[in-house]
Amino acid sequence: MNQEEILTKITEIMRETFNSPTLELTPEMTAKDIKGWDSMKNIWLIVAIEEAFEIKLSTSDVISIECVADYIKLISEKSAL
Amino acid sequence: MKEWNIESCPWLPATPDDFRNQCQKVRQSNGDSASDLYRLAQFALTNNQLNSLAYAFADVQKNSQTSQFLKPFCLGLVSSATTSLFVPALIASALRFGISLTVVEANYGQVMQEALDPDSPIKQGDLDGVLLALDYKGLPFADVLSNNNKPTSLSSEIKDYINLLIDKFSDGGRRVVIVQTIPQPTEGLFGSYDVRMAASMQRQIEALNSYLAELPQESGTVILDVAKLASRVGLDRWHDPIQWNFAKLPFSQRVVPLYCDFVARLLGAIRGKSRKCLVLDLDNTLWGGVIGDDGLEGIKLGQGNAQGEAFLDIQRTALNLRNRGVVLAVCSKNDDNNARLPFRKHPDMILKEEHIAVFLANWNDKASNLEEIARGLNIGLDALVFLDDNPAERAQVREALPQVAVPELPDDPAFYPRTLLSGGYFETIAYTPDDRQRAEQYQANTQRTNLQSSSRNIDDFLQSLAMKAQVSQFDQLGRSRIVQLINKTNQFNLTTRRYTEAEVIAMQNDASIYTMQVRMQDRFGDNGMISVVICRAHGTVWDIDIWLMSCRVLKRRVEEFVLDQLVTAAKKHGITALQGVWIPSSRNDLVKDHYANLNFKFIRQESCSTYWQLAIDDYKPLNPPIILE
Repeated sequence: MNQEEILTKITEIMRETFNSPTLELTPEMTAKDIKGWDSMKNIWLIVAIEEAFEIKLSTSDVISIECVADYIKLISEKSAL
Repeated sequence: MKEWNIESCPWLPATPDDFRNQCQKVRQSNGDSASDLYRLAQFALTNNQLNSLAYAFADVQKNSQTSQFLKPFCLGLVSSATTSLFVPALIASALRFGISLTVVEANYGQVMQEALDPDSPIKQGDLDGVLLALDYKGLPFADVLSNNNKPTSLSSEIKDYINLLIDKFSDGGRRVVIVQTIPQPTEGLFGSYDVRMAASMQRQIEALNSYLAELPQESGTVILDVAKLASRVGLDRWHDPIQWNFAKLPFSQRVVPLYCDFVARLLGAIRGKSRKCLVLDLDNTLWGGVIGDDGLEGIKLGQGNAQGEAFLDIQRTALNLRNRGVVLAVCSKNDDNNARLPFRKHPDMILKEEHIAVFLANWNDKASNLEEIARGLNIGLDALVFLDDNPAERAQVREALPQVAVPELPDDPAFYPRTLLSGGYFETIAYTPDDRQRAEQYQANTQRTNLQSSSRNIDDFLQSLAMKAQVSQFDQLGRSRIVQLINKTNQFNLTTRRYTEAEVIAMQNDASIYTMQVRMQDRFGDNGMISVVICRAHGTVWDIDIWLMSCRVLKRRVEEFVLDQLVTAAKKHGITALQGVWIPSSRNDLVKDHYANLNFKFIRQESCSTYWQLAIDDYKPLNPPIILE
């Protein structure tokens, strides 16, 4: 799965998670750019992403996430394994 | 074959690809969307999909009034951990069971404060129930090592803690308190030796769960067996240490849809939404193969081969359900003679014709047959569960009759019993001797109907039934059945007011309230308790707060008998008039003219409700053919 495809899939997940059907994601976006993305919702998001991509993120992975690009990087690393 | 995994709620059909669009459509529609929401809730939804449905529901509630189709329930949520992440899923899952759920969350981590502070959201809220979602991390367990391994494994501190919480949250019995059993932690300190340590966490939790199981039903508590659920999922999957550390989640976010379904089915049971009848297909559902093609010797059933064993297991499950009180029916595309052949001649059949209340084998479409079964048993379509191996038949029934529960079945019949029993269709919060007899009672009803057609007229028929009845005020013996009738009866129910067990106890002890329970037998058997009446005295008038009757004794002039008894009691109490009201629900059209038929005088109409009055002085007894014992 290439970065473009990962971004598309994350966009779908985030649209549901944040109840925002028209949300458009760019790799640079951070929690501040998306309404409702707080630390609690982040856990929700992580699990949704883990399930969709069939990966498991560790505590340090989760801490390291600052923007959408971090998600894309982690997903492509983990699903390559 | 896909692995059978409880986490994915495999009894629910797969979510359609356009689910999110369908949610959007519901959000934008202006009409009554309750049935659309109910339909969308029936799929095996992920946490995110449940979230979308909950948002759609919230929008619908903003735009239009709540439909009568959904029963409201306001639930307080108290936990020692974070609950906010599963609230939307809980609201969406409740739709699956026909409940319009509002959730009031306690302040995070303040279980005891919520209980003791009279101004807390939970104490203040107008709640129907409170879910006490405790887990082992939030309970005052004794330290395994400091306790000197004393023989009592459950400290009185924990018992007091639990009892205080129940007492405070039940608000004098006005609310149901749902108490969760506690799942074990994953690992013990000693290993296998934990079993021998009286004060080990494992032993303390076991003791606490036994204690919870024995809580008296009168206290208004209902148990949610989370310990069992967690063990089915697997404790190592249930507890996620990363999620606990980040957000204090009481269980893995992955099991949210499953957990919420289990809470929701209990709310459904509290609101009387549990189903009453299991309708069975025959070919490849009760036996392997097609009786019309394979013949008696060709079908697979019985010991000695794995497929035959699987079908035996399905039949055993159905019979166990019947012994529990679930009515069984057959709905099969077959010639009647062929369909009955195995029941009559196959030596390995566990189910016999006598276990089946309605047997429909013909070539009509299944939806029509299911409607006929519901009519024949005098129950709603929403009381039916339909078990059929054929995906096309399942789809047709779901499409035509969304009220009927149709469990999704895996390819291998070995998993049918597990799937059926995991779906929560027959969830209950009490079990009475009447429940046990129910299947037989419905069946006797079918015999009575046959007798009716051979009798010349209705009066002859009623005479021939030799009905006798016992009437008394509420007592402890009848109480759980009384509470059940109050909360389950939909059709013959003038006001559809629901009361908890504790409220019923309070009425029983209130001198200004006159209560009445009626039991009845006839020549075909014991019908058990069939009618409940509650009157509130206002001066010399009795206001009929509840009048309900079990539909199994419909059209037998029982209501006339009850009125005769009521008037006799009223006279004794110096009452001059009875006052009644019919409050329409979506289900009680049956009793629209109840008071008119009993010669009550129409007084007035308010919104849709009609008010009626009967003067005691002029009353002439109706004397139906029922003997008072």
